[in-house]
Amino acid sequence: MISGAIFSAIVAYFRGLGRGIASSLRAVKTTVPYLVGWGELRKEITEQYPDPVSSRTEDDLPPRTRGLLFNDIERCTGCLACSKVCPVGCIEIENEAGPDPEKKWVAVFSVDFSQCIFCGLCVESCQPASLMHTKQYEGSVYRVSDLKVGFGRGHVTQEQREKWDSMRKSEDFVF
Amino acid sequence: MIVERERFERLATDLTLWEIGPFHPALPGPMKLKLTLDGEVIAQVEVETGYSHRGLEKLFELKSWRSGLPYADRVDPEAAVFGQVVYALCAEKVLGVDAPKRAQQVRTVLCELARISSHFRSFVQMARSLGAETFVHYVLRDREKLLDLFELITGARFSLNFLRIGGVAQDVTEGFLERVSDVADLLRTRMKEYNDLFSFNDAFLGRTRGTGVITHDAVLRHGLTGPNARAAGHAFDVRKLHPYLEYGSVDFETPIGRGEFGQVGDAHDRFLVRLREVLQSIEIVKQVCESMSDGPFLSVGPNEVIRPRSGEAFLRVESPRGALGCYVASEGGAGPVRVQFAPPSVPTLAVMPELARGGRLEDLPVILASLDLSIAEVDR
Amino acid sequence: MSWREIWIHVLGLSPSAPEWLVAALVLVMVFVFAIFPFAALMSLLDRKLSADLQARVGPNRAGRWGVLQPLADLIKLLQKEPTEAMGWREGFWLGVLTLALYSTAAVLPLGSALVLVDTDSSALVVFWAVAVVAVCLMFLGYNQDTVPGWFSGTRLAAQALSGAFPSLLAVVCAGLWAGGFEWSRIVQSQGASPGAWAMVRNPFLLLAFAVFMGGGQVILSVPPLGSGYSISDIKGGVASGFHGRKIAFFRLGRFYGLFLWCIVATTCFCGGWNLPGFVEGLYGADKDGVVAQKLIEPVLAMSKASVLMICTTLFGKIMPTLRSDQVTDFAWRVLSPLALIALIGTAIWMLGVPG
Repeated sequence: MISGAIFSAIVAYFRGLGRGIASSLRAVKTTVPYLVGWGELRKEITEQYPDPVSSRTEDDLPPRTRGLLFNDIERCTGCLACSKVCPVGCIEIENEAGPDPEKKWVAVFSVDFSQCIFCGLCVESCQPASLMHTKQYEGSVYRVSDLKVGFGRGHVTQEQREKWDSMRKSEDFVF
Repeated sequence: MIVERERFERLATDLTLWEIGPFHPALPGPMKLKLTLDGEVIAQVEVETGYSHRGLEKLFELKSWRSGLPYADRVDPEAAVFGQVVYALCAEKVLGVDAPKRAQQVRTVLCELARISSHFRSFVQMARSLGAETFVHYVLRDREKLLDLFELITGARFSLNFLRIGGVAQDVTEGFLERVSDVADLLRTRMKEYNDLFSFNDAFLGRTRGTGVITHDAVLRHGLTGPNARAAGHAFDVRKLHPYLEYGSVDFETPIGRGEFGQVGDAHDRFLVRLREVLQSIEIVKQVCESMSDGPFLSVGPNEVIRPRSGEAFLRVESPRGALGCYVASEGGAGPVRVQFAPPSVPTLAVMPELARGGRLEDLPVILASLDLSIAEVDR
Repeated sequence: MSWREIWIHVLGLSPSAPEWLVAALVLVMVFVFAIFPFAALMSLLDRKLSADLQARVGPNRAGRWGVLQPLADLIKLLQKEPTEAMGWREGFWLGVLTLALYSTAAVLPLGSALVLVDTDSSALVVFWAVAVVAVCLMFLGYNQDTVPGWFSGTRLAAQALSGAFPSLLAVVCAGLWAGGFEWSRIVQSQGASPGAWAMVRNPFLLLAFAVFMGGGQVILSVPPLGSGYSISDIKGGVASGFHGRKIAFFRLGRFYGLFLWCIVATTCFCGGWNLPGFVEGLYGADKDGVVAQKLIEPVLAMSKASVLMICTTLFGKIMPTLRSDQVTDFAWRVLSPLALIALIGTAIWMLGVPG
C-alpha cells in the first residue's frame, strides 16, 4: 500500500533524525565533563616545556634516557669499539702514545652531534664504561661546527713529551 | 581586454587537474597525488612517491650486523619495533643465533605496545581528516602513556633501537611489567570513552560508511595484508599462520570486518578492525607480562664477535599495517650482503587509486587515513 | 527617549548636532567598545574552553591565564605582509563584503538605543547581509584561480542557498509570534525572565530556534557543517588564499557573521535585550538612570549571544564535519521540513492557546 510505504518512510526519517541527535548528545555527554575537570581521568595533561616555569626537569626523565653523549676521558682506553660500531660514523678518535705505556693517550675524541642518531650502540659497546648518555637533550647551538663536541685530552705537545721522558727517567716515579 | 579574453578562454570547463603534495594535510607523508577531478568527483588518481627515499637497503650492505640495526628501526618510523624485529629474526636465522625465551617475550610485549601506538596514530589521522579535534587529543594523551613506557625501558620514545641480534639490549627495568599492566587496564577504560565519542558517531558513520570499499577480489589482486585486508573479510594474520616470537603460546583473536554499519571492507570497517586489534593487543600484553620467564635477555653480548655465516633468510612479521617481509643474504662477511624489505604499504598504495576513483574529493582524506599508509615504508 | 537624545546626552554633544554625525559616532562606539572587545574576549574564551574540553591548558603565556593572548594575536596578525598585491577584483569583492557585513552594525539588535534603523523588515536584514557575503566569498574564491578557491567558493554558495530557506522560515515564525519584524516589537513581545522568552512560551518556536541555529551553521560554514573551509581536502579553501593583514580582517569577518547570527537568534527567540525588572529599581527612572539601563541592555544581549557562540564552536570541535553534499542535504531534507512544521505549528499554537 502506498500509504504504508509513506508511513514507514516518515518513521525511518524521524528515526534517522533521532539517531543523529542521540549520537551528538552522546558525544557532548562524553566531552562536557572535561570542561569542569570531573574525575581523575579528565585532568589536563599539558606538560609545559621545561624551563624555569617547568613541570618536568631532568630528574623526571627515566634513568635510561638516551640524551647527549659524554665521555669520561680518564676511564677511556681508546679501544675504538664505539667508533667502529657507530652506524653513522660520528665518533672521531685519535690515539697517541702517552706517559703510561700501558694506557693510550686519547688525543682526539669528538662526537659530531649533527650526525649522531642517539641509538646507544656506542655506549653499549664501551667496556670501561666511560662513554655514557647524559639526560641532556637541549643541544642547540648557533653554528653547526659547534655541534662537534670534543672530549679528548688534546694532541701531545713537544714539551709534554720531554717532560714525560724526564719523568720516566727519574727512578722513583710510579704511575 | 586581450588579457581578459585569454583568461576567459583558459577557463577549464571539463576536467580539473590538481596536483596535491608533497605536503598536504590529507597526505600521510610526502608524496604527490595528481588528481583529475570532474567537479567534486575524482576521475583519476596518479601517485608519485620517492620523496622519502633514504637508501636504507643500501646502507645495510655497508654496515656490520650490529651497526645496521638502527636503520631497521627507520624503515617505518611510526611503528619502529617491527622493522628491527623482522631484521633481527632474519639475521638470527642466517647467523644461527638463538634468542633466549625472556628476550622473545620482551620483544613480543614491545611489538604489541608498538602496535597499539601505531593504531592510535591511525585513529588520530582518521579524526584529523574529519576535523574531530577533541578525539585527536584524547588519543594522543593515551599514546603518551605508551611512549613513556618505551622511554622507561629503552630510553627513547620512537626509534627504540632496543633489539639486538640474539635478544634485546637490556633487561626490563624494575616495575616495568606492573606499569605495563596498569597502562593496559587504563587503555581498556579509555576505549569505552572512544566508542561513546567517536567510533559510532552518526557524522563519522556518514563519512565512512561505504567509503573506499576494498573488495575481496582487490585484496587478492594486489596482495593486501593487515587490517585493510582483514576488514575486507580476508582472514590473514602472520601471527596466526606462521607464529613467531611468542605468538604461538598466547591466546588472542584476529578481528575480521563484518560490515556492521555499512559494507564489508569500507573505511568504518577498517577503523573498527583496528579498534578491536588494540583490545586484542592489550590481552596479549597482559598474558605475556604475567607469564614472563626468568633467564638471560641476550645471547650474544655487545662486544662478542658474531661468527659470520653465509646463507639467506626471508621472514614476515605482522606489522600494524600488514605483513612486513625482510630478506637477508649473507656471504660470510662482517655484515649482510643484501637486505630487502617488503613493506605492506606498497600494495595498499597501489589499491588506493581504485578506491578514490568515483568518490568525491572530500572522501579522499578519509580513504587515505583509513588505509593507514606509511610513506617512509614505501620509499625506504 | 529616542536613541538620538540618549547619545547626545551620553556623548555631550549639542542638541542641534546633525543626525548623521550622531549615527556615525554611535557606529564607531559600537565597534570600538562592543564588537572588538567582544571579539577579543570570545577568541580567548574559545581557545581556553576548547583546550579544557581536550584535556589541555590552552594559552597561558601571554599574561596570567593568557588574558593578553588576543592582543598578542592582533599584533602578530597586523604585522603580516601580503605576498602579492591585491588585484582589483579581489579588492572589489572584499570591499563589497566589508560594506555588506559591517553595515549591519546599524541594525544590530544590541539594545534599544543602539538600533539606529528599525524598519518593519529589520529581522530579515541578516539574510541580505549573509547572502551578499556568500556571493562575495564565492567570487573571491573564483578569483583566486586555484582549485581550493573554486571548490570553496562553490561550496559556500551552495551552502548559503540551502541554509537560507529554513533560516528564513524560522525568522518568519518569530515574526509571526511577535506580530512584526521590527526589533522593538519582537523584543517587547518577550520578557526578561527565561519563562517569558519566545522559545519557551511556544514550543514550536523552540524548534524554529534549533532550525535557525542549524541553518546559521550551514550558511556561515561553521564546523561541523563547515565544508566550505575544510582543511583536510581543500587546505582551507578561500581562507588559505588570503595573505597578509587580510587574514585578520577575514577572521574578524567570520567572527562577526557568527556574532550577527547569534544576536539575531537571542533577539528573536531568547528575550533579546529585555532587562529584568529589578534593574529599573536599581537605577531609577530619571534621565541618567534610563541612560544607564540603555547601556546595560547590550551587555545582557551580548552575554546571551556569547553563550550561543561558545556552544556552537565547542560543538564544532567535538563532532566530525560533514561532507558538502551531506551539509546541503541536511539543510534541504532535514532543516526545511522542520522549519515548515515549526511555522505551521507556531500559527496553530497562536490560534489555539490563549495569551
